[in-house]
Amino acid sequence: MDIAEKMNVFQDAVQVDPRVVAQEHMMTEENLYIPEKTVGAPFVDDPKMRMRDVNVFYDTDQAIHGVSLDIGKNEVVALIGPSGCGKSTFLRCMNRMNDTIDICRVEGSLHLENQDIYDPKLDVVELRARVGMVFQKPNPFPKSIYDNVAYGPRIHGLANRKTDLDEIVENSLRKAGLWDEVKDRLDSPGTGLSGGQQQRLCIARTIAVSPEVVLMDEPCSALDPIATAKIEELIRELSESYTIAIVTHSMQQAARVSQRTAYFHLGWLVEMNDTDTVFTKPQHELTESYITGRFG
Amino acid sequence: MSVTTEQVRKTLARRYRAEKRFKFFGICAISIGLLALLLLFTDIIGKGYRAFYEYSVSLQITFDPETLGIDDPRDPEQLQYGNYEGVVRNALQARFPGVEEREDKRALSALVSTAAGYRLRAMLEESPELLGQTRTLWLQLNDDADMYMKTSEAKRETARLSDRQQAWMQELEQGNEVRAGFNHSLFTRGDSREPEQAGILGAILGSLFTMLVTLALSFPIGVAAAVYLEEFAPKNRFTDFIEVNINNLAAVPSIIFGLLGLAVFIGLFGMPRSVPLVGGLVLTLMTLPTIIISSRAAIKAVPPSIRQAAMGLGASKMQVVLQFVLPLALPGMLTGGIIGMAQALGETAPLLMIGMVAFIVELPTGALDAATVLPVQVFLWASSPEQSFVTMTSAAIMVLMTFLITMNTLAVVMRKRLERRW
Amino acid sequence: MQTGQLLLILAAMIVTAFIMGRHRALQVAQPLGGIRHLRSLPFYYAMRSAIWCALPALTVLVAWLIFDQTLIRIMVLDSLPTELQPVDGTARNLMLSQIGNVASGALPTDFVDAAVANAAGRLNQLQSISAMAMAVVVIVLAMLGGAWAWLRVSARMPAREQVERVLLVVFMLCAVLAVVTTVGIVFSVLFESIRFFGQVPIADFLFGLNWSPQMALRADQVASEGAFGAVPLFAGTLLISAIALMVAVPVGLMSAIYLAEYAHSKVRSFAKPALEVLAGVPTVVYGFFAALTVAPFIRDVGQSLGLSVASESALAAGLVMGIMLIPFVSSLSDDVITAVPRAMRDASLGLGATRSETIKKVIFPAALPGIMGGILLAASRAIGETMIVVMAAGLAANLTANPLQAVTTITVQIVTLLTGDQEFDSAKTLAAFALGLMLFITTLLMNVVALHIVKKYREQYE
Repeated sequence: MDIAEKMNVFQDAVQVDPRVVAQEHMMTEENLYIPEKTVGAPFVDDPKMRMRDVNVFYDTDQAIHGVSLDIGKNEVVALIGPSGCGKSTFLRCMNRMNDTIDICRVEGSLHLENQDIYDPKLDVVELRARVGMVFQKPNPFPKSIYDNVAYGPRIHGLANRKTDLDEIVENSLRKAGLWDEVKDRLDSPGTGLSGGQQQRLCIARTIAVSPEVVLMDEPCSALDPIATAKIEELIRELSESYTIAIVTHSMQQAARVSQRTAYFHLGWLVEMNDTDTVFTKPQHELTESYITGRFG
Repeated sequence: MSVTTEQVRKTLARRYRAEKRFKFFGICAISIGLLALLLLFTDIIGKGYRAFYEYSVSLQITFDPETLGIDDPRDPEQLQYGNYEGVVRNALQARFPGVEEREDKRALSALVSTAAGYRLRAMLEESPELLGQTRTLWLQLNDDADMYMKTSEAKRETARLSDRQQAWMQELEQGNEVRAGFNHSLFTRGDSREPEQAGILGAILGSLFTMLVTLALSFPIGVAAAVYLEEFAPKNRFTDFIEVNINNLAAVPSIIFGLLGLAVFIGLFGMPRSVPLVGGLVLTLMTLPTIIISSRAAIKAVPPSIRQAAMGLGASKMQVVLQFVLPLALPGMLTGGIIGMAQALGETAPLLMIGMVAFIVELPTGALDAATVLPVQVFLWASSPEQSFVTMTSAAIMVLMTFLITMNTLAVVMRKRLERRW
Repeated sequence: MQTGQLLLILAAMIVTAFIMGRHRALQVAQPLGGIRHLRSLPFYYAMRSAIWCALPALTVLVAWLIFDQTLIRIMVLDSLPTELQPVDGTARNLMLSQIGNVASGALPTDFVDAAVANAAGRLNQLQSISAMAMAVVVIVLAMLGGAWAWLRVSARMPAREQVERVLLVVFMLCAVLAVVTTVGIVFSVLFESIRFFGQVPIADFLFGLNWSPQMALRADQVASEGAFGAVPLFAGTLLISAIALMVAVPVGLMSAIYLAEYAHSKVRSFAKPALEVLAGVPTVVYGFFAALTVAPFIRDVGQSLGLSVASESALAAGLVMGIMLIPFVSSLSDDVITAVPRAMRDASLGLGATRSETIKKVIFPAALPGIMGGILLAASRAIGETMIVVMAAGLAANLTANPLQAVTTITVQIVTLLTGDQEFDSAKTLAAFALGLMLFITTLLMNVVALHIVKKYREQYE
């Protein structure tokens, strides 16, 4: 791994004592601190995913500090916080994408329903089929639109016949709101679409496998406002049938699409509550400073 | 459990088998590569290590004036034409008095290398008082006898010695009258028809002169071309054309450069054949693309901030390049230069074209003396039938590879150091 | 005077010019109140003097060295009486070498014609005159140049700009050398090839099935024509290259994939340099290995299986050439595989694909153009590879697809036809250049296409 790659990996890992940095971020004289225990209501009854005391390390640097939270069935949870706060790292733990980084180590208990995600006996392939992921930059394969969407069903053997596959592709593209735009050119390359269309294609590709949970890592950060609006609308529609965790930089986006919001700060989960509560009555000074724009 | 999970589970076993199979192919591929490397090295070392030592035989040599035909050892004429072989023959016959037949006598004296005669002459020249005296000397064995000694007991049946010769050798061996020692002639002599007298010094010197010519030309020219293309060249069709040319030349078969050397340097310019100067010129043209490409990469790696800083102080473009960019890019360029030189040192084909395959006994003293180079020496010896030359070839390869690995290691170390800088 | 001595004198003069130029600049600057009143630093005035001293003298020196022998030869031959004037190129070369031998004293004068002896005397005389004249001309030029530069030093002269301009031109000439080399290659093979095709029809060469150039050794031989049908050579080259690629492509590609995607970093840090060592082994070593180890081994195995294997089988040469190409293919593949963005990998893994599925269905198709380019480059290498085939493949121009038989290749024939003392214009040597032309055109086309593909591929992901 060369230096540049390593730096990317470290993007979310802050190396300085977090409390000191937290104070440096303060614009005011107030003495803010990170709470020992998450403020608000991080837990729900009968969650889809249950995370307890999650610690993540890159080599010796700790990127996530004892985060515990639940994600309820069919709800949209937004993970917000300043850059480098560990929200993406945390998201990637939930379908073990961090496994692909050699130096990354995850501790704690993460459960999908009653299944321990980090159980050595658990099958990663199966897990990732159940917990899909949409990435920051649209990353369609250099294949046709059809092949992009059909990729997951094909490798997982979800369709036995061509007609089944066609149906899955059409349904997924419809759900992603892309069908009408591309139905006449399913054979043209996915990389030829516009940025927003590409991201919706990636979402279609993810839901073609019929996952239970969809993880979205800043899905709109590379898109213009119009494309962003379309994706946000799509997320709201999808939340009817999927559980969604979305990492976002934009507080407005979190407010628009999510039911609950978690505020991360330098690897700690500071506060988690109903989205309305977080944005209107934040209980912790750090959260308040962030949403009022005093740092970011 | 969802439908998806169920269906995915059904496929898992098959998919993991494919995964394992794929990984296994990968391991196989790596193993084949590494095994080939191991085989190559063990084969060559196994064949070549025996060339680094040689056997000699202890004989009572009498510098008999009558046999030698020398009465005044200070007379160069007499020294020159002395019958030294006769002295050696006498000594051998004294050791094996039972040998009577003419043919057997000849077989007996064939055990000792003809180099022994030169040695006796040199001794006599140095100390003329030896004439008429007797000395116990260790004399070099002939290559077949030497090979016989180097072969393990079990395989001696196949040696190129007759049964009688083998018997004599065994007798000498049991009497501790043969011993092994470092093969000095390997590193102090030029080529020879007699394997035990052949050495690689001539080829090493030839390589040295060729490399000096190549280095003196290709490095400055390569760096200058790289500087021009990277810093000064306007972006136009001609520059593109130069670039396409360089990239293509890097992939042109080396033998084509040999044809160029033959037609232009020798045919057109009338330069002499077989000399390191022409070899160096041909290898210069061959290594230039490598050096230009790596030098350009080194220049590219210099941060633009340094250029801007110097420009901001009012330095001219040329000053910036010569005083800031070049010193910073130099380690990278040197790395490329070393790799280019290693490539040139191992090159054979183009040198065959310009006649550097001649059989040359004398050691070259300059870039205009006919010479051969190490890889060509390997080629020449590899086509000789004698078993000893196979050993010598492997030894020459070991020496060549030592040079190459040293150069490449040096390049890798320099590259590592360079990486740490930015 | 020896050229070496002349160069030393010239170097000394250049240094003197440098020092004097610098001194002069300082002198000029003094009454003005210091060097900051000069337009350039004294160093540049010094450099300018040195360049003026060196450049004209060196140019003349090089030109003289290149052309003097040719001119002297023409003059010597012209001095011969008409009845001794050589009629054709061969006779000319013979005559010249005879004169040369007499001149150097290797051949006593009483062995040859008096006219030849005279010519030899004239040769010696011309050569010494030429050497003297060269020394004088070069030294005078250097002095004049240095003096001119010295006289012209003035406070307002833009010395730096001039020096930089000269340097720039020198740099540019160095870059243009690449083009000159290509042109040189094209002309040297094309020129001789055209002469060859004057003797042997091009169609016979390209499509003839019989290759036996040895026949044309002597003009009075019965079958003096010699057969120059190059098809068996092309076929042999293709056969050996194909075997080599069949070894190198799968092994190299899979090695690259394994090292890039699976191998533990410790394995990688050991295996990668180890494979690179294979790339650094000189081809003559591979040739030795092929001829003395692999070929006998294959023959023995073949015999134990009841197959008849030639001792110089195409298989042995091809296998070893394949080994040689493994690191080449693997490093090119490694480049293109690692150029596939991480996002592709993440997307596929995120959908639950296994690593091998990701490689086979996403990375490999994405990297395919680059890999094809790499394979094409490897194929061009295989075709142009010389030493392995010279040492391990035979000379017999068999037209066969059986890898157990001996075949010969283009490069082997070039080496065979050109090593040893050859007349420069016999059909045999010219045939070597025609083969060289074929080799150059083929590899050039492959390289251009391959480099174009690889470049396009890189741009796609940049």
